[in-house]
Amino acid sequence: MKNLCRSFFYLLCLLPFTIFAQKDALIEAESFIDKGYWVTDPQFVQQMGSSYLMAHGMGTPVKNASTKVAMPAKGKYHLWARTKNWAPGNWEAPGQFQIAINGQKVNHVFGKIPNWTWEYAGEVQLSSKELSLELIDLTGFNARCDAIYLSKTKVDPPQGGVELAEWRKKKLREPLAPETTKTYDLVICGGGISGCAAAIAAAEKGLKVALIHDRPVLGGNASSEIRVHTLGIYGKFERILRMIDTEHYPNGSPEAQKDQEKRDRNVQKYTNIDIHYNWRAYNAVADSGVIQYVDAQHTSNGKRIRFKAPLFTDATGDGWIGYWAGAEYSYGRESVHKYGEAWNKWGELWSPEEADNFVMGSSILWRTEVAEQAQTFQAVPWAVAVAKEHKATAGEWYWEFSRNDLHQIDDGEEIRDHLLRAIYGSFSNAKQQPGNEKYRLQWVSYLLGKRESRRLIGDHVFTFNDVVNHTQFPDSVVVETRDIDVHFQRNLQDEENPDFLSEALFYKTKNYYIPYRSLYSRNISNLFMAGRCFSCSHIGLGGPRVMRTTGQMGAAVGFAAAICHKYKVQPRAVYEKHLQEYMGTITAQQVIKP
Amino acid sequence: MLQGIGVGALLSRLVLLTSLGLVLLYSSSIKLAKNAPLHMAMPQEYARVVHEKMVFTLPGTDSLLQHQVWLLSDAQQRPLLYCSDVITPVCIDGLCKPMYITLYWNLVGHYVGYGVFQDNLLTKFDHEAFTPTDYAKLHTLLLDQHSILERKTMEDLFDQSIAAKEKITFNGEEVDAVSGATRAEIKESVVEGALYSCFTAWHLAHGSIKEQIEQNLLTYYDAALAESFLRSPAEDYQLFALKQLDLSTLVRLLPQVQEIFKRTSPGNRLYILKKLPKELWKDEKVSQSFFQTFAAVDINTKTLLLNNLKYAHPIVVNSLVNNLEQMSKNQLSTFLNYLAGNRQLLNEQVKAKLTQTAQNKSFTENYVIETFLKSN
Repeated sequence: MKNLCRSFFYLLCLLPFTIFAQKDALIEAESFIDKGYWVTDPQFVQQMGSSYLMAHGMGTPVKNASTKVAMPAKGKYHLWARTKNWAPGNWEAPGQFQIAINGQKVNHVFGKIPNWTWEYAGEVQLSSKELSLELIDLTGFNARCDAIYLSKTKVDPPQGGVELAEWRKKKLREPLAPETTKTYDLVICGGGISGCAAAIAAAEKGLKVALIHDRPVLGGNASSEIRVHTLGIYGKFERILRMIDTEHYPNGSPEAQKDQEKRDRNVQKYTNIDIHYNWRAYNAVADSGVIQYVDAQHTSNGKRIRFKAPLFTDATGDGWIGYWAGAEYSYGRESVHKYGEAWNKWGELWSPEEADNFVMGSSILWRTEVAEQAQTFQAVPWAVAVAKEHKATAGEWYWEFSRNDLHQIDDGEEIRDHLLRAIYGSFSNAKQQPGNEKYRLQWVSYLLGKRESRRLIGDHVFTFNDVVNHTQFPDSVVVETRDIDVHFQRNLQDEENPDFLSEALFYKTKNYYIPYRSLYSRNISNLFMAGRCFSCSHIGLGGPRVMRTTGQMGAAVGFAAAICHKYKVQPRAVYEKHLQEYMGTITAQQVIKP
Repeated sequence: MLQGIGVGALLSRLVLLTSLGLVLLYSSSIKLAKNAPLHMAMPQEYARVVHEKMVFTLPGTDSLLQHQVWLLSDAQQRPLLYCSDVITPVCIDGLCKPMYITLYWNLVGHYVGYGVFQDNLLTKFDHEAFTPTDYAKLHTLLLDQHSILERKTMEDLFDQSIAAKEKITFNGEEVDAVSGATRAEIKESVVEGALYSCFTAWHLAHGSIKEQIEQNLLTYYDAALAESFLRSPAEDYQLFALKQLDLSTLVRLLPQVQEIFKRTSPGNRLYILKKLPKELWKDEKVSQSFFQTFAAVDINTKTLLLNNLKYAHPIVVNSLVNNLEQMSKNQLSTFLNYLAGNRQLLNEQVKAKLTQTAQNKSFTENYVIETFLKSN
């Protein structure tokens, strides 16, 4: 009897879903056919659940995004949009937008509630099954829309977390596994400089390579979207790195575009590199310490692909592939005693007695231009709490934010938004000064340029001692002469300083080397890493985090993958069994002229 | 260029003014062998100087040169400052001339001031004399521990062939090969026409001297000096003293440490919180004294206080619950997680305050408390 009751109850639960699933529609904003000038932001999928559209207009409302949807039926629907007031307080929300349905504006302004929320806008009448939707930006200051939900019943969708993820899957009728599986010799996640270099090196040795990148252009921090110039030396890989690096233009310069075109063109010419632009990995599954596959999703259309390969490279910067696969990793500043990384000159600022979370921060670069006529810039009361009295008409590397209650990955969106408030507020303050009337914002990035996040642990952990001692390893594959350059927030020395500005500590060095053993995971046997997630300590990261150095790592990984492929072995065996051949390959690179 | 005044006359006036400044300083100081400071960040300490003693030598930029470093102390032989007369060559394109300068450091090796030799005043490369503005600018530059000059080598600044090789010009604009700073930025931070002198002086003031002075300090550092460091308003003195404290002394001097905590820099506060033995937090008075500062301290210190909540006396919950609006989202989560794990502390008074704050619509993180109350 008890079982019978339970079965009846389940049936009751299922019935409404079966019925109403036909009478609702979930429309992901990033899948809009015409995005107008709204931008797709996939940076925080792992935190808030999805890519989203953002009206990044630097104060000028952007062109509408629009799409068409075939609804299950006409009639009345309840309308929600998942959105967020990104700078809540006692002022008008900075990012506000409206929705137009079939050309008619819905009488609700979105973007006023803190935290990601389904904002309910009331009922709308659809006179046909054909529905056209528009997002109308009202403010130009980063209004954001994750998705729109129309339903015949007024039941709020889940607000977040696993519940929302499950609900979303059901509504989008996603199968359990990706629809498509692709197989390669090497799968590289992350198309920054290290990922590109790894792809080129492996491709030149004949491997079939997948390069998965969540942006429409390659280069990561060096791309025309973030615009950090590449620093460091070429080491043994000048020929490869010249294909993908940048000139030494000032950070944030539009000159980044030329190098962007060069980079994409040069990587695209390798027919055995399958570049997956706008695909973001969201899972990696390992069995007995061996990655079986990586799943990735298109940042706009939501399609999914399962990538299989005997070898994987984590060039995501944040160490996502290793993290999902169960690789050991570190985060934060180690105690000075852990690796003996003291430098008395800077004491606690350099390496603390007790470990903490004061990692180097993330940056948003920006620039202004001087127009012929005076330019207005609207008031930004929501930025005052961050910018305070600070005035600026240009940004640089030291516009950087890190705080010990914020995690550079988990709290990335808050960090980005804090920097946007710093920029808009400081620029607004500068505009009040006589002589600045003609300044206008030319470009503000919305992508975080991260310096430090997870560091996957390899067979060797590269530390300050390797720099001080100029340690030469039998497997030295990266060489660098650039200073160790560790940042800290200026407000640690004086709390009156803006919290979004940093200072750099430099340790000058003649040269140092990074061994191959810092470029593969200690416990995930088929995982390489290159870029800022390589195996190092916080101080160890200080020097080699710049992009010609990370490019060297990438190239070294690509050539190691070729050895693995040749002998059907895993990364550690390259060091243990094929080092001579591997180092021969690496050394041979430096005599190949560009 | 200099309307209405002849260049020579102006220079003479500037030299005269500078000299007058020096004379005033000389006349007010005790008769020491060293040149009195022209600019000094610790004038009270300098005013008490009576004795001087040579303590070690500082290697110069040229390895052949050694500069004597002197410890200056008061009438009771209590150490006050370090100083050194520096004579060092300034060379460009093989042309050299000496630079004379007396550098001053505090007892932990941070630059605090400089003096000049009356008969060898500072000049620019074209032999033009430093103006009072130039002298002041040099002091400001030397006080900046993170000057752009730190990242420079002489080659970066002067060797144009290296500059060209490293592509440090871009679209006609000269760009710093290391930091991306423009030449204009470098120019802004140094005395125009005296780049090499600035560079040389900065590296002498901030080079190996800090570690040498710290080593020397440790040879005479005693309880009396420790106490004076702890009483000092200078944050670098406080940190040095805090670092030297062993745990038993820390416990004995806790009231003094708590006083420092209230008035010092965020970095020093964090150091104190980390150094405090966890078992001390159990003491109600200790916990209260630190947590009562919650509203007044910076956000990073707030985080560390909350991270120590698990060690603290539970009474601090009563003061923290009155400061919910001061917490960031993640700080609130830390506090609420603590309450969730210590439900006996969720009394009516605490719940009432949580409810009240959750209903405060002007508090942007109120939803965090709202969510917590729903499940607790």
